[in-house]
Amino acid sequence: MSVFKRFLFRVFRKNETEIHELSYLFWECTWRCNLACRHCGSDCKAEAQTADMPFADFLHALEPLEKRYPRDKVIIAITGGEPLLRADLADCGRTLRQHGFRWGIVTNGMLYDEARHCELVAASLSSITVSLDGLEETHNWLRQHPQSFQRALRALRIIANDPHLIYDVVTCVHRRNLKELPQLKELLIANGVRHWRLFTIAPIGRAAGDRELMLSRAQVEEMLLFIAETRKEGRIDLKFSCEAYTGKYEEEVRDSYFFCRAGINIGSVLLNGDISACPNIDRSFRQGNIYKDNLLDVWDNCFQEMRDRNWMRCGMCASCGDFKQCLGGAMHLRPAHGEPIQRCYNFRLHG
Amino acid sequence: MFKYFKEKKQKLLRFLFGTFSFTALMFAFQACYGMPERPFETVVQGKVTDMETNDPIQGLQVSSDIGFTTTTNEKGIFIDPIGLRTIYEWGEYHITVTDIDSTENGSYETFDTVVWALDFTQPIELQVKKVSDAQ
Repeated sequence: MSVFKRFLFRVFRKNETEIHELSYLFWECTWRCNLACRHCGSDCKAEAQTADMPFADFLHALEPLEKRYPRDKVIIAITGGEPLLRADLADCGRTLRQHGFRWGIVTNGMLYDEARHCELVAASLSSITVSLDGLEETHNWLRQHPQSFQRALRALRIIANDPHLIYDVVTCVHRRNLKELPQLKELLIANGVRHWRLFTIAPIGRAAGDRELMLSRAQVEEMLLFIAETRKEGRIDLKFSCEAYTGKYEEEVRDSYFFCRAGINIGSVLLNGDISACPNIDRSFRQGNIYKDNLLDVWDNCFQEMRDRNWMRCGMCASCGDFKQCLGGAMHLRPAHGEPIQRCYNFRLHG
Repeated sequence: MFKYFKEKKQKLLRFLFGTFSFTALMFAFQACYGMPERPFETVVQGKVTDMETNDPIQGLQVSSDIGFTTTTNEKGIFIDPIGLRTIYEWGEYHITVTDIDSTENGSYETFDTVVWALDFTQPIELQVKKVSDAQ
């Protein structure tokens, strides 16, 4: 059965890649952030040198998408920096909705209170992710702010109690919070949270040189076993993110097999207007710029290096028997085109 | 034509893989640094009854900005003529019930309501009010 499922999955993935519908578009609206975490996918700053992107510029870039795709088909993931720092966030969301796009945000929760929640939901916010990286001391250590845990907890309590929102809580697993996961699980359940997602910290951005944040082989396995056991319990919907192929754990740690959809269904408009896939992918993979190019033309005609990933068969992937199943892992772990993957959990677990 | 067959194939593969994976939400995904999305498939349906008597009402037009217009049958039931459709869980939709057959099955006031997307996973119960004689 498993062999057949994997075969069917590969056929399914090939077809999804050939069609490559753009259904998930990041908008990196700001580089400003009210935290300075030890880890950050975007490596943003408290006082960003680059100004926020004017919403009108982004909306103009979306025009061809609005004509191509049916209403509701595309969701806009507003990210940063910290999107709640934009005073016009609700106005942006409301306008996106009027143009037929669904929208959501990824936030650290610092500024998320009842008033902001009501404002955003009234502007048709549909989906939200809040980061919680451990129990109080550990979370505050990673986020480098003494109130960050309490603020994040306040946010997720509000969100988890709103039946109209799709949400999840994400936790970056590292050496300090690995042992806290069982307690964190109980804390989330006690606060009404039903959807939880774990990922590990990639050696990119400002976390690249911080060994304290990277898990050892045994620790990765411990985390995956925790996910598998929690899923069996069924008390909370826990999954491992799409960051990595996990070999023999694939069917135990998430709903489906690993599938990096960067450039296949996921695109992004970055702060400077660059068009790429996920914002945490190396900026050398940019495919165009909204100030010069038509977003839809770029989506239709570029992104070949993400849709044909045979070039990824290098480094530790060159002789790996699982390549046809994982297709070289996640794009954000490639420092540049032609470069080997920076980290592979399958290799570390079974290699 | 090529696109048409590709899309048909896509639906079939999603169905097959979803079935064999025991998860109906195979096509839902999220980027690792993004927030979740969970589109779901359902057949929108419901029943329209008289507010006072609870009797089903035939011949009323039911329309929604989700994209359908249909009429109720003799049991007061309406079904989205599109059949199975993908709904994106984002917020609210309008449903409007209009009496289009004049007095044939009684006269009813136009009724407009807002439902959340998730409400479409269950049959929707709608109650309408008779036009009073004074009107």
